[in-house]
Amino acid sequence: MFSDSNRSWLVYCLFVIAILALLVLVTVLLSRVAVSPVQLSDYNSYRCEAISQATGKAIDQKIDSSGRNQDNEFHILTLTPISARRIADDLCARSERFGINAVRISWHARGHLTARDIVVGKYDLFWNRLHLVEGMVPTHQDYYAKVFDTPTYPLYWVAVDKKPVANEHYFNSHRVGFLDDPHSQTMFLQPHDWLQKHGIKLLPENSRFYSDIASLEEAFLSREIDVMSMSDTMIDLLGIKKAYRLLINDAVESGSWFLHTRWNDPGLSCLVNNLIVEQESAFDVSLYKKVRKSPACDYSL
Amino acid sequence: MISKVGAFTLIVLLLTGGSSYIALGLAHRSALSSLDAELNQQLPARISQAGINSFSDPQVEAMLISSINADLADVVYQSSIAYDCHSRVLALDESAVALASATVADAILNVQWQDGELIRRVDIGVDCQPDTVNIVSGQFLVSFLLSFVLFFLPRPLRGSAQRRCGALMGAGVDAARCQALCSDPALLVVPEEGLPWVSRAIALGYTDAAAFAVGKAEDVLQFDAAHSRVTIHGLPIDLPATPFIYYFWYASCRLQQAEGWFTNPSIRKPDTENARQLIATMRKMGGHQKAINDLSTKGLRAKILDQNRSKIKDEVVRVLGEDLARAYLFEGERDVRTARYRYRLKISPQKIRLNF
Repeated sequence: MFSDSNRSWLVYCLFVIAILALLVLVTVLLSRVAVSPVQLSDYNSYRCEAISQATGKAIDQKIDSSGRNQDNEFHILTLTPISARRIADDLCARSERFGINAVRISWHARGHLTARDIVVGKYDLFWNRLHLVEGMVPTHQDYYAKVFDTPTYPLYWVAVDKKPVANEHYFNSHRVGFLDDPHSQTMFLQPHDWLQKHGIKLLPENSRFYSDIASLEEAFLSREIDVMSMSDTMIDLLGIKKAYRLLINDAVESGSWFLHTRWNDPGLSCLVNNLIVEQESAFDVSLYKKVRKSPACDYSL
Repeated sequence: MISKVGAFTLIVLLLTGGSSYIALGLAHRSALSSLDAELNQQLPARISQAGINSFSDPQVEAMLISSINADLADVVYQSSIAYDCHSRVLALDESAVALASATVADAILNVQWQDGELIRRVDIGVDCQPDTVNIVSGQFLVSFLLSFVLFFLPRPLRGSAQRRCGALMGAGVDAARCQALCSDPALLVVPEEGLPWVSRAIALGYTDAAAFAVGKAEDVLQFDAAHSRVTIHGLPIDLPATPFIYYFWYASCRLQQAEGWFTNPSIRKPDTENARQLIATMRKMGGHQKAINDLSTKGLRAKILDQNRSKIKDEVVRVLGEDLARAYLFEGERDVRTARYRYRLKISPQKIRLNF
């Protein structure tokens, strides 16, 4: 048992500890820092303000009588962010004459575009495959007019050790990679179509399906698969120095650009055509060398 | 010894320093973990979607990074202390952002997730700018208030001081005075047996220092003939001349004879021999003439001895109290040979100091 002296010391020490604990508690409560809920912006789109040709500055936003922003935004839907920003910036610099205040370009997977989007005219301009648009809205011409077809591209079986051979023996002794997306022309439909035409039946253990393009590419680069279908553009982007090719199709359709019929202005249609061809050909010279700009395009002021 | 102000300042500074260190560390950690949680929850899905069909294009990455950086710049840090951080993307997957300044950061948050078959990651560099002056001054305020409480918290007495305090209180010193005495380190120097003397001195109105001196004084019975004063354990007692001389005489007997006893003279036959010795002593010490005359005419009588012992006792008890006085007074017994009473000082001869 404690003596009186020890007990009073114990009480004193407890008091001191309590005071120090109080200091620590106050410190902890005061020094807690928390971020307020973060609102991430839309990473699937890019927006620019239209530039006035006269001043070289962004055009003032029109405010209506009720104080609302009468933003005449031109909304583009495409399938990839590659070139998206350049297309939007270019259009922002040249669209003043069409009453466009701003350009927004969004990129989403092919399945993002719905029949409802087409009917309500959600986008001013979009890129997709003609057969998919026809399948969704057979009367799509009432809403959108085709501006131009993006160039076809050749598609190959590609391997890095030796050239693929068009027979069952080759394909049954090598691992073949596909994208696990039956809508994909490049990495699912076209290669399966080729195999069907050549009467080659793949062994299930040699077919590999990947959920996204990056995983499929990674599998190819790490030799998890021996052969997959690729365009020249993909071969370049993946930095494959020595690619052995076997042609699948020399002219795969890539899609078409559609402009909403509310833009009943041949000048805008012409501008969009030339602008996209310029931007895309800068990005992919070989693919766009056959595509020509519209000759006389009256979109200048 | 550190002064009280110095000790108080030291406590305040120590608490301020310690708590500021904790505050800065905690603020940094909580800011990072809160941001980490927010980003881990939202970034992976957004980034995975944004890069659709992009084949790791560097320009697409740059656009994505600038969008993420714009969002990071809008992050608001909520806290009761002034704390703000700036964060930016240092690396997206394998490609580090090619900016010299981007490679250095206080802390790096690593957001990592499974995207299909791939492991993807974003490194976010975070630099925090705490308002140190604001934080330290806040902690100073809190530390100052708590130090105040800490400093004035009554401290318990150490074991021996506690015992001494108990002894003093037992000897009749009131509790408040006792608390003051007991917190004085000088009390610890007073030997245990001196404590009743301290409390007696306090009761007699001595100052603390004087009382401690009494407690530490030598346990002797000292005679000061010049002032007819005896000092017992440091406490002086002034006696009238005649009782002082008798006290002195009994002390001399205690020192000179083997057992120190002095038997009362017979009623029928007063002691003239000892009366002469006493008269000589009285003359030397300036005793009263009346007492001298009485001795020379009637001799030394038992009645006179009894009277003076009684006066001595009264005076000593008045100053020392019954308990303390007892050891310095007389003990008596019947002399078997004469059947008369004999008396002597109780105290041992070693503790008697005669001073002419």
